[in-house]
Amino acid sequence: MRLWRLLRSAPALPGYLLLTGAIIINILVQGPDFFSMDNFNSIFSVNAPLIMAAIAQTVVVLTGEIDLSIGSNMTLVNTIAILLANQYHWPVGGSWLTALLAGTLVGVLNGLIVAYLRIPSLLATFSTMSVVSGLALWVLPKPGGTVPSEVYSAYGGYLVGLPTTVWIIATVVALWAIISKYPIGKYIRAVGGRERSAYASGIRIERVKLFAHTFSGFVTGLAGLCLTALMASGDPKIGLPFGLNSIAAVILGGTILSGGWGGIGGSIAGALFLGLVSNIVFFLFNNFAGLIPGIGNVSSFYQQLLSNLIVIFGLASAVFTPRKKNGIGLPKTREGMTKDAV
Amino acid sequence: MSKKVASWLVLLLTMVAAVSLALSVANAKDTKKNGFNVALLNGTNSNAWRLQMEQNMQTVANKYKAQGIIGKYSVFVANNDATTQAQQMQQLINSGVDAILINPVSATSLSPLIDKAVAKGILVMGIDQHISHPKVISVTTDQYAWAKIQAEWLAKQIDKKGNILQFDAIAGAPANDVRHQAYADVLARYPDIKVLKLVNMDWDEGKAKQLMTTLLSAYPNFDAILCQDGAAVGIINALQEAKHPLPKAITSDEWIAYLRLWHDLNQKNPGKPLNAIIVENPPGIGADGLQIVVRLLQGKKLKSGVLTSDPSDKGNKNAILIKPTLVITNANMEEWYEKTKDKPDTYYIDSVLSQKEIDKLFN
Amino acid sequence: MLQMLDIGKRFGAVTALKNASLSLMPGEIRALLGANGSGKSTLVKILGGMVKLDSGNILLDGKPLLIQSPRDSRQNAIAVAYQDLSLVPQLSVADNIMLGREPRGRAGLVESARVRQGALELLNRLQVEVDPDALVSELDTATQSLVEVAKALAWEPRMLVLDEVTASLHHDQVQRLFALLRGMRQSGLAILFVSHRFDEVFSLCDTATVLRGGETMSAVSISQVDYSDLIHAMTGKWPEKIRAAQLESKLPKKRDIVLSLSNLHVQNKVKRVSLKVHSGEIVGLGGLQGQGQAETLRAIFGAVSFSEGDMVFGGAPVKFRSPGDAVRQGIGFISGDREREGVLPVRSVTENLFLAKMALKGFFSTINSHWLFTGAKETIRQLKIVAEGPDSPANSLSGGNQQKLVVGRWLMVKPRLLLLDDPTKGVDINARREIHQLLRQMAEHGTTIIISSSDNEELLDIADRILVFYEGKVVAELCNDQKTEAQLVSAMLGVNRTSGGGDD
Repeated sequence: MRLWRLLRSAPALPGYLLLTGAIIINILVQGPDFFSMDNFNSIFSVNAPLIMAAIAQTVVVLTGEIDLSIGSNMTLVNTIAILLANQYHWPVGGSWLTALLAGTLVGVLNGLIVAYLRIPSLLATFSTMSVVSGLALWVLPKPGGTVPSEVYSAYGGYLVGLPTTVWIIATVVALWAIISKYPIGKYIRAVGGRERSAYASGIRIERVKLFAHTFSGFVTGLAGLCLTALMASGDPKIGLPFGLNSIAAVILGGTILSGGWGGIGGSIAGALFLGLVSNIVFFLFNNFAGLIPGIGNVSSFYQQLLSNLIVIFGLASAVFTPRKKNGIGLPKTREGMTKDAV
Repeated sequence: MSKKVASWLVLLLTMVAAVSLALSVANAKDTKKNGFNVALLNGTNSNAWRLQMEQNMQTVANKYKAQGIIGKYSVFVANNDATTQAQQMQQLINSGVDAILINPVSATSLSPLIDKAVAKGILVMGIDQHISHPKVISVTTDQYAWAKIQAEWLAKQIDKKGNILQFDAIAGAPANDVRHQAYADVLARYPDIKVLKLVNMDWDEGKAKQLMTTLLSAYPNFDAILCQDGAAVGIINALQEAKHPLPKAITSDEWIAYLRLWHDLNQKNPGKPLNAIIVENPPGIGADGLQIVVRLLQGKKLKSGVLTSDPSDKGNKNAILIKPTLVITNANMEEWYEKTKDKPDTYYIDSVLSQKEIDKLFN
Repeated sequence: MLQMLDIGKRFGAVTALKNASLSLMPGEIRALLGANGSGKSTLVKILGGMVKLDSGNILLDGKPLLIQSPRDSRQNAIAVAYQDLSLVPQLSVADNIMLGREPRGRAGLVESARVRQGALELLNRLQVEVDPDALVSELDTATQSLVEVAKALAWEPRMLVLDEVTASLHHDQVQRLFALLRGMRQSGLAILFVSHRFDEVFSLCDTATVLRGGETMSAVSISQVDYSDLIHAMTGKWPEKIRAAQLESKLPKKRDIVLSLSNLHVQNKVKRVSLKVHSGEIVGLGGLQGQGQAETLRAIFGAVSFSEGDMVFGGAPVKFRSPGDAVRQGIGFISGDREREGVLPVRSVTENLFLAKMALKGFFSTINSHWLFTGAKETIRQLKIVAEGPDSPANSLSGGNQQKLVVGRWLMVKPRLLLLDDPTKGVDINARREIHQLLRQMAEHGTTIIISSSDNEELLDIADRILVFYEGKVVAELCNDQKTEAQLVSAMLGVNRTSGGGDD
């Protein structure tokens, strides 16, 4: 049972369990079509923006902060990429890189405000959220613009046998894995775990927080570009749901909002869980609603009710997974042994 | 120990596979019915307007089902999340439908998916909001006509001269911009009508009320109020609270609460009725779209000239603009008050085109 | 080597330090002593870079040293092991020990094998047997303290500051630590040792600096002083012999049984414990740490559920489902772990004092704020709590005063049974004496008290009867003439069991 013990101590356990459950139910309601490569592709290409946003959120949450501006930052990236390419006829590469840079800069701005001005991130990112979404509205006042079909076909297509989006996600995961191997990876968790201890250990808290927000801004930028490739157009409201959904994915993935405990693996599972919930609800109603007479007239109500109930159930089970951490009662799960103690 | 777990897992997976296979077989039988398979993707159903649209469409769909024309009609809502809508669209394409009607979360997105659907021979139609795609016909209310009827009526009520206040909604929103243009075009013909102040009320009764209260101090001497929908109830409430006389004329709000407020005002002051107009901005547009889709699926061809360009998408001739037909003024207010007495407070003044009117669009 | 001269520090209106001085030579072990609020912790924090000094100078090897942050301090080979720990609970032991000085290999990557190895070496030197991959949050407090020491040593310091790290250690752990420190002194390490335990100071230290009211009162050589000299320097008073005031003989013979447990069983921790407690009695629970004392107290209080056994309280069988139930039945609980179970740090002194009393009322019962204020003032006076006022937040108080606050909270509701779990951990000798006096007063007024303590002296001092726990069982019951340190220690170590509550 070594595997079980390993899983048990992994912070992402609730995320993985929920995802497994969602996959099983999805197979049940969708049938064998679930196993087709096209189905995987559509799940990943549609959910890649949320997965990226969840990764960006996780890094910030690990430091004990939160980023409410992720949704509007994605919108900004989307509008800039579209505006430069469509209105100013920049090459797609250049305009998208500029948009990515803008997203990263928003992260830097968040980091500076949180780390150096010491404004709580809830407040700081709430204000950047409004400023950035205002900026996006100024960049692109109304929906419009297009993305070259090569770009969105490539995004929705395959690369060396796997969906392109899987490669994009894998690249970001690898990037984070490398960062985790540097001291900063440990420091991010240390700062979130107990800021005072990290400070007492000589860690420069400000730099760690600035780094986390910057990295988060960069990944948010990638999320915005994925969203742009998926939607193939610009819309100054497009990113709205991602702010809260990314936080939900993080919680579902077992990362603790107070910081220091969790990881991006769980958050990716959490984001996929959210994506599968809409999939499950879709197939449930597409395949089975007709079998129940009378449900037709009101089915769209039940869809929202059901998907919200599943998400609430997921959030509750992720939050209430017993971890016996920092609680009262019997906090010690391991005897502190000393050699030749009686 | 782990062997046991593994065997349990295998057992579980086998069960899942078996059940899903059985269900899909049962399901396959189920879908092999006659008639078209039509789906609606509604961006949200969390407001009364969209809900009424869904209900209207359901009523029409039920009729077609009874006739055997539609075999399957399903509705999916996306909680205002563009990616959820994309996912639903994707799964609809995979599962094979004949037509998809979309009231989009984001009017310009979805083009990659629309390309895919069109390539698979699926008929895609936008309803309520125009979708800018050459292969997609959008059925929308003619907002220009909607606004023009009101502005013309208002000008007539104040004898083509006087001071007015103008309440727009959100600058940049497509419907708002079209209506704004229509107002401007009409008013340009009446140089004696002066707009004292133009404000944006964000389609929010509360904000409209607040704005009106503020405007009263700066511009107490106005003759009429030209407003888009979602403002008139707030404006009249503000005037009543300030004990300010009602304007000589005020324009539309299709909310049933407005009709009832209007009726009550007239009951209280029989000598001085409120001079108002309601022009429908009908949730029935979705049902109109559904009727058109069915005819297109049946292979009927649209008359030439039916397809025009939407003001937001001048490059394409892909729009069917339905002109509003139902207009309520003091002449027929009482009649409509009685007709809609049993409707809930969230009801919108509404009409659906008849089969005959739809048939006129086709050869 | 290190000199701190005329150090001054103010926190708002409170002067923490004025004219505090300290010097440390290579190879010297110096004790830093002082009552609560004397400025010890502040001085330690200045050395560690957690707090910036307002005035004064620090000289290192004769050159002025500016400490702006913990980083500065560590870079100048000063390492501090804090009483409240500088560990991150969510990280592993090894990561914690090497935090901030990870060995790095090619391309700057952390070499986790070397992290683990370095940590393991330090743990072995301290003779702590703990898995370096275990999370710190899973360790008991004693092990955490030792990991904290290992972490300080990881910086290979020239000066090591130990801020009450022995407070939660067993006797044998302390001895091993001392042996190690004595060895390191030979190689030139200077140690500043902060402790409330005089026996430790006398066995380890060469010299002592005593602070009172933020000023250095004396710097002496340990060999030339005794307990009373130091207590005099700390308090300005010569200690009386308080042990004479024992009440044993005065206790009436026939008393009601307030609480009786039979065959209490808590998962893995407590095994078939039976005990009877009489009204007005002070019963001590002794033993090494983690032998089931804490769990027994929490099981009585309803914070932990017991799987088997019966509990009779006030004549009726009960089983509390939550601490709230227990409080309503007149049971109070004081934990030595102030941060976790005792004080609401950011709430005011008044709110902390009235917490238990208010919990007895309904959610919406009216509260007279004036009555609260005067009540709080009265209690503050009575308990000699040093606070700016009833409105100041609890975390502005020193550790001993915070603990008095918790005792005062229960004093107000006069519970029938008061449970204390190591209540004077990290509390200075003066405050400890005051708390003991309060407990005796409460006992005289009929409150029954069960107290567990890691400090043998405290148990012998206050308890009428001591039950000694060993591996979840009561192995000895000591009263009257059996109540000696020798008996207690041998019972704690599991040898020489006297007949008692344990039925094996």
